[in-house]
Amino acid sequence: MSPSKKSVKKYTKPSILKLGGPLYAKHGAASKNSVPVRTEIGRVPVAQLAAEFGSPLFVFVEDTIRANFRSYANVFKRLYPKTVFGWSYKTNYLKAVCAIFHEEGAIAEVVSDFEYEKARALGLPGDQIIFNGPYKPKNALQRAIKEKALIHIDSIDEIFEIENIANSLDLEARVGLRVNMNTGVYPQWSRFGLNFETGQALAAAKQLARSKAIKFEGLHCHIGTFMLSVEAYTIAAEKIASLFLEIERETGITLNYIDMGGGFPSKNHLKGVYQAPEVAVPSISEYASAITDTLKATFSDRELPTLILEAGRHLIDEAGFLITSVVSRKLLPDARRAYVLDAGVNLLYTSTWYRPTFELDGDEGSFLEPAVLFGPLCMNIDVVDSHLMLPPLRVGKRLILSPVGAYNVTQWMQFIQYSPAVVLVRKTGVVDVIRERENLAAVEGLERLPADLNQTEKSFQAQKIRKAS
Amino acid sequence: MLQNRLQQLATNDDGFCFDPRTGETYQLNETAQVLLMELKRGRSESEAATLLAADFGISIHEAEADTQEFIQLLKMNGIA
Ligand SMILES: Cc1ncc(COP(=O)(O)O)c(C=O)c1O
Repeated sequence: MSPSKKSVKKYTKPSILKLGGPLYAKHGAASKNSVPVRTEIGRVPVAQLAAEFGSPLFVFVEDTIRANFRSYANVFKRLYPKTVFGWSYKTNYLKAVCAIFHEEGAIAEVVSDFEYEKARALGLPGDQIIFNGPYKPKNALQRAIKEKALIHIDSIDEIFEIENIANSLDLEARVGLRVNMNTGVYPQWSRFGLNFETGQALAAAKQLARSKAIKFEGLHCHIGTFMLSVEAYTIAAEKIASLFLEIERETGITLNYIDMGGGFPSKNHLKGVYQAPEVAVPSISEYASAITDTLKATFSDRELPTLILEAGRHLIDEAGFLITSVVSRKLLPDARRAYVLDAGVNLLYTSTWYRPTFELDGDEGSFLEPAVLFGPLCMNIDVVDSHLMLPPLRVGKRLILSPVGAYNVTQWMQFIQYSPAVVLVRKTGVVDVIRERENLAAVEGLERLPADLNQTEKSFQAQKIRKAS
Repeated sequence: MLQNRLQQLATNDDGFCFDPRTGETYQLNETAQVLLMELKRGRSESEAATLLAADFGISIHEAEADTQEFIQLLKMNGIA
């Protein structure tokens, strides 16, 4: 397909749009707005990344990760110097990503034995791990207690379990209490921790304060994710701060921290929100003021508690890009243009709720037609986007989706296709592979084939001959 | 016949196209304009594809597939 010498014209696929037709009415005309173009990610050409590491490809930019963390941390530190930052592992627990956040000074927030082990394997001491989650297996709790991790209680049963383990180890467990509450936001995350309004949280706190096996240190909440309401944080901070004082008053113990969780949005496009993220998403300063003003007001006549935060998506989403390529094109019976991409919902778990920005790696003009993007899975559900306006694209054309740094490389599915490589564009401009593309050995590594089912190609051939004769 | 049918279409240099038989209007991109012009002139599908391939320096396979698809699009839009 290399252009011949006499031709200088760039080829565009033929396209025709009926004006005022159903597609036109639904999607707008051949528009004067062209699709945004991105030729580089972190100053590395998209074409070079795809040529070197293949397509699809997840690309993270170290500079962006660090810059995001620093601006967020600076905002809180300026308003509230006693802030400790946790990195929410589940958002993206690639080792390189976690290591960058730890290098920037974040401790780890983990929600399973697996995540706990990951943090420890990265060299993080136990006392720099916050252990959250509704299910913490017994041996994980044992390890966490021994290693002085901060364990956040999710249920009354967990209090008993921790007391038993701590007693049997003759150790004191470091514990905080997760509290859920109504912050005026729907849905209310009432399934984690104990409820504020009904008094269950206070009752649990009293139980913790009485326990000889437990060192009860503070309170935790995480009110939701991609929270567009700043007000919800004010309400949450008011409620948790009042509970903090009530617990101290009623039990005589001293608590030392309030963990406000995460939930701060990234500049992503939540489906159903019609404003652009630039308009819909409040700045981090607004969240920081809401939380810290409330704490400072509530604790005006005493020492401020430490503020712990556990942001995830706000810190990593915009640092992640997905390069994907058109592998084939077709016309749907309703005359809509459809493309099959090499990346689908297997890699884009978050595309159920969020609509990323689609960019092209070169200008394809401003004649746009309605297009449907299908993924590579042989599954009807594998639709990446169903109402995008795109110029006519040729096979091989690359699209860049962003932001996709949060919750995709952890929640992607090992299904039908190999997961792609993940690379990190370093400060220096060097590109490091931080996760290899999957291969058969990696995917089948945990499978065991019973010996009597282990046939070779020869035995299949022999079978064929037997059957035939 | 396709040629006769296409010759009834009124087109201008901006790719604007009016079908007097149905009253519908269409917008064509540049490549579609080239193809429509050639087909109106009475070129066969494969002649139009050959011209396209030569004109843009693309493979004959791609040109043929695109020409075929363009005619399909004309049909789906009730033009051809
Ligand atoms: C307990 C806890 N903390 C922090 C987070 C991070 O949330 P986000 O990515 O919305 O900041 C989560 C995610 O659900 C969580 O469950």
